[in-house]
Amino acid sequence: MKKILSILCGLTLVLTFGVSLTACGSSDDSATDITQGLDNVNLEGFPIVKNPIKLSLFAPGTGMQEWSKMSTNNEYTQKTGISWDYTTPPLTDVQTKLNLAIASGDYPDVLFGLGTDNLKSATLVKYAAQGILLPLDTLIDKYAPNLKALLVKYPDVKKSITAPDGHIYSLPSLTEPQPSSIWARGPLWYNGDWLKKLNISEQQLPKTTDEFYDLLKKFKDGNLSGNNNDVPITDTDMNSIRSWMMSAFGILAQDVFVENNKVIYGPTDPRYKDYLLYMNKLYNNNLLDHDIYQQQDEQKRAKGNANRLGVFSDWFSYFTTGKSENQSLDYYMFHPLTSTDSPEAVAPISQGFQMNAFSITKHCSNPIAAMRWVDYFYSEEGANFIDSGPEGDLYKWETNNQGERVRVYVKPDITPDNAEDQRGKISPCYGIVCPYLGVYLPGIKTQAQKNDPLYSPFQNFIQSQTDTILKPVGKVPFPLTYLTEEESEQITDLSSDLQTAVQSWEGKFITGKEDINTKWDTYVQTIQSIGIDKYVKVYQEAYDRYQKD
Amino acid sequence: MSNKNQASTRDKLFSLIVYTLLGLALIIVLYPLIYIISASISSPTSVGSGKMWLWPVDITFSGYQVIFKNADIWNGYKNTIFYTVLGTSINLFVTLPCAYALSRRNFMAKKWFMKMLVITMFISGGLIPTFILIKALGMYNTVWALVIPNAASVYNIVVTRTFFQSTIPDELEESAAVDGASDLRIFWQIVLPLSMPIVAVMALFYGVGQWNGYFNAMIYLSDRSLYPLQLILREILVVQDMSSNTTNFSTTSAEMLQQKQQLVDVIKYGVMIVSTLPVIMVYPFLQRFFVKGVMIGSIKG
Repeated sequence: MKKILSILCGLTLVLTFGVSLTACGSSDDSATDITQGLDNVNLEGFPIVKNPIKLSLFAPGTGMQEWSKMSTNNEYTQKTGISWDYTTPPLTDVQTKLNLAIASGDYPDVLFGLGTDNLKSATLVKYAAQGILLPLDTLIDKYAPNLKALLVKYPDVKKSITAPDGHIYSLPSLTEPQPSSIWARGPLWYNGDWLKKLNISEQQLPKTTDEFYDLLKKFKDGNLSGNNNDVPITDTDMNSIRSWMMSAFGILAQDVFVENNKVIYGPTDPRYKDYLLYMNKLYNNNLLDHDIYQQQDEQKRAKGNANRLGVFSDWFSYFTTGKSENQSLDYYMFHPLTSTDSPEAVAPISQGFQMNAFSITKHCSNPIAAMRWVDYFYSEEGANFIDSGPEGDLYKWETNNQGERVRVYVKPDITPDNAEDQRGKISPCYGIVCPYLGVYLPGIKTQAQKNDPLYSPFQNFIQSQTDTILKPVGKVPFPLTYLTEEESEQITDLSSDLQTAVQSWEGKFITGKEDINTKWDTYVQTIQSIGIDKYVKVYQEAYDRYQKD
Repeated sequence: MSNKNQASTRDKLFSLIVYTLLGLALIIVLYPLIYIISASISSPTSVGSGKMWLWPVDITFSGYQVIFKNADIWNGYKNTIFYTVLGTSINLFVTLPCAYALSRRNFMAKKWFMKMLVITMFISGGLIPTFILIKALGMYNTVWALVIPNAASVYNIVVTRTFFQSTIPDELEESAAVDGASDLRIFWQIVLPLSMPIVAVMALFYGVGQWNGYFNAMIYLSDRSLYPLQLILREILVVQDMSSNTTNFSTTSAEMLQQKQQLVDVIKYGVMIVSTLPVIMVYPFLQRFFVKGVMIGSIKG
């Protein structure tokens, strides 16, 4: 029996090796010549290829419509001569599917719209090192005039998307300055109804942590909804409040951030202790929602709909309150606060672009065509095309009574309420990290609103709030960048261990399960023993490299 | 006299305790069911705010309306029923003869086969090699990827084999053989009719497994029109919490999540009912076999 078993084990081993070897063998063909297929490409204009070609594309699907049925895709295929074999697993399964595809060696020509959520930067660097992804710099230089111009215009983007080996393996998703593109996360919003009841004008909104405390106290004592169950400030799991309140004490991230060219780890900084003390004070005085660690978005929204919330986080305030856009114009944005730790207001903002939106793999038989194909999206015209579809499907251009060009919905049954749904059915750039230049166009109007001002009151509101409140004090905590494979290996485990530990302590401190003053030193020691020094060092090196480029 | 009284108070006490415990168990089991049914016809706001905790509040059927209009859900439903029927048939077709053969004392190499089977319970190829195998066999993105790789469950074969061993005596087979019946005929006309409990139990085990299975479909299917119900539900219901997104977020993602979130709020509970109803409805009809079948199979040897 033993003998049989050992023979069997041996056999299994041999078999598994055989399979994995053949798998490697099949994927390990010689390095792709990036200029292959050049003969078939028109270097300018459309169609892109002389003879139609078929490539394959991998992207996250949002389930609104199959990609092969989206009119935008089909129209663009007509225009370019490039048709696609689409693999679009649901957002939830994208990572699994991609890993399987890569591991089995049978992966598509192009990775589209993944973003750092679905294709981690560390993974990208690894794939690049294995030769799975093609370096795109030469292609951009020669065949992508639109993108090339943008990278000159925004040198920061170029710095960020360049991998440590000096090559670019993935294209970004850009946004021409539009207000929400600098939001690192959803802002906090004040309940406009309550402010009115308390006679507080926009100018009187709190600017310091003490004023903020007083306002929350007024919210609590005022019994403004009349049910005695008002919640002055809430969130789910502290996710958003955290960054707004920490920055009031000068801590820009619950992770590493840059201060005067030096990388600092926030959660062990003495100022972080003041943040904890402040939040604990809010919690103890029933100002911070006691459900904060239990509730989900659903419960938060239910409270918002019942008008029980004073200050809350969300992308737009009406997501939580369920009001209309025009009823939300006095739900003002939270103004970043100052404190003794941070006499000048600062707030974390994002760089306004996202990485890992488009890569070409070595299986691609015509990288130049693929690059020209995507480059169109980095022009204003092309961006509008891939975002809102071909003219006539969702909208058409018309002229309003002021002589301005305005986009109008083509069908009367398309309204602003269902327009996003409709758009998701015709355009791939819906809810994913699209490789394009997101331009800030006036919203599409219904026939009836055609002569209204180009930008809706709500668009204007968001614009002015962002410009006056956030922009002047905004600071990027840590620039987007790639780590080397070695660096990623060193910190991947560390990073999640740290986050878990820091957040669990944060919860205990804020809810008062542990006393901040007596336990602070223990906490700092615990966190430091996990390996802060190594962690900060890696990021400091990455930051120095980023600065040097 | 007093003894008798004492005994009856004890009996009463005993019954009381039994009923209380059973009652508690009933509540624990029943409450989530009622809650989901009520929630499916209550307004999402009252469910979210906790106003609805037992009976429906602000009754609305909008969730069901959305579900019944959703073509994806129905297509998934159709696929799931097809996969379940086909898959379960194949499962039974493989499991029953295999178990029967293994249960016969005069079957040569029985021990060797058993060992080979059992080994597979502990050693498997792993995900990626299996994936490569399925692709190489041309089963990727076809129905077969869902019904062939899991055609036989060794555990179920062992249970079935034990059932045959303990309920079908060898003498029965011998006498049939004396009367001139072939092996196939013995299996079809004598053994199977006597083994309906185990057939029903296996059908239920396999059927529920196929009905709820989503992992194989997720790995092996790429064409949306082939997706089973569970995969469609997963796609609709699993929404990232918007607020947990730290960086790399844009207005279009926010708007998409918001739309999806609203849809999910409305249909979440309705969909749970729609997707579990068939299984719940089939169960009572199989239940009488169920207890007997599992009990008999439970002593392995």
